[in-house]
Amino acid sequence: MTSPIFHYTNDSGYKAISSSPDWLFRAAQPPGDPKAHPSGAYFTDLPENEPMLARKLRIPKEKLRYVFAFIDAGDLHRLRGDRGRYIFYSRVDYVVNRERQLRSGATMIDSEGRT
Amino acid sequence: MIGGEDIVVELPGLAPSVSLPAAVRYLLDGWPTAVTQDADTGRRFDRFGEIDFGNLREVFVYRDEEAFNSWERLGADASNANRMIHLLASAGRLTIVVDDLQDIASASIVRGLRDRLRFGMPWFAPGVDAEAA
Repeated sequence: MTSPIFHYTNDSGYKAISSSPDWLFRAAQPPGDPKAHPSGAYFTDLPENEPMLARKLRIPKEKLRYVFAFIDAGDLHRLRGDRGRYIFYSRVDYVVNRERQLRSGATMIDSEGRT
Repeated sequence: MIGGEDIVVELPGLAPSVSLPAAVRYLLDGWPTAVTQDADTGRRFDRFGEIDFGNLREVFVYRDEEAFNSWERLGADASNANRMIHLLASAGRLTIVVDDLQDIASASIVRGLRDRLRFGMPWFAPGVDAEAA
């Protein structure tokens, strides 16, 4: 993992994560069967101009409104299976200090954008 | 920031150029009006014969045109649940991503697809030498 790491979220998620100087991504159980994926904070190295982003992450387009980008520290786990090529997670709350932060804010993905 | 359930099918010795067409063929048998899409380029295919599997490693298979259009518009909205299956192939492995394995139809598709890949191609079944078949 050498490319930047991204976390996409919606309006409320953006406000919560950006409310402190060090970003805190809280570990949580993904929707669906709890046996499918471990509780964690999830990330990807797919940039926002990836045309199939929502489909590859399998999330609603609404959750692509905001992004946090940061430098990879090599401490994230890969998702089991071939989505692990681009989806990573931390089993516990994950903190990104200011030195690793690259940018945050609204994405260029609008209601007409491809997902 | 993640949805779906990932089912990993280990297929020792099986190349993506074999496992992916077999998986897509199986899905299209169940969803005859399905739309298949290259997950890297976005190119869509309306018929199995149109698909160039040469370098293809990752596809989305939508149940029908309506599902394709709705996923294009909304992504993984609740209204799109269980109407698209994501396949990722690599050497010796196929990953199947569905929305919810508790959904009876999805579970049936995954079970059938897994059986087809493991046992429906006897010349590639684990432990069976390709030359012998």
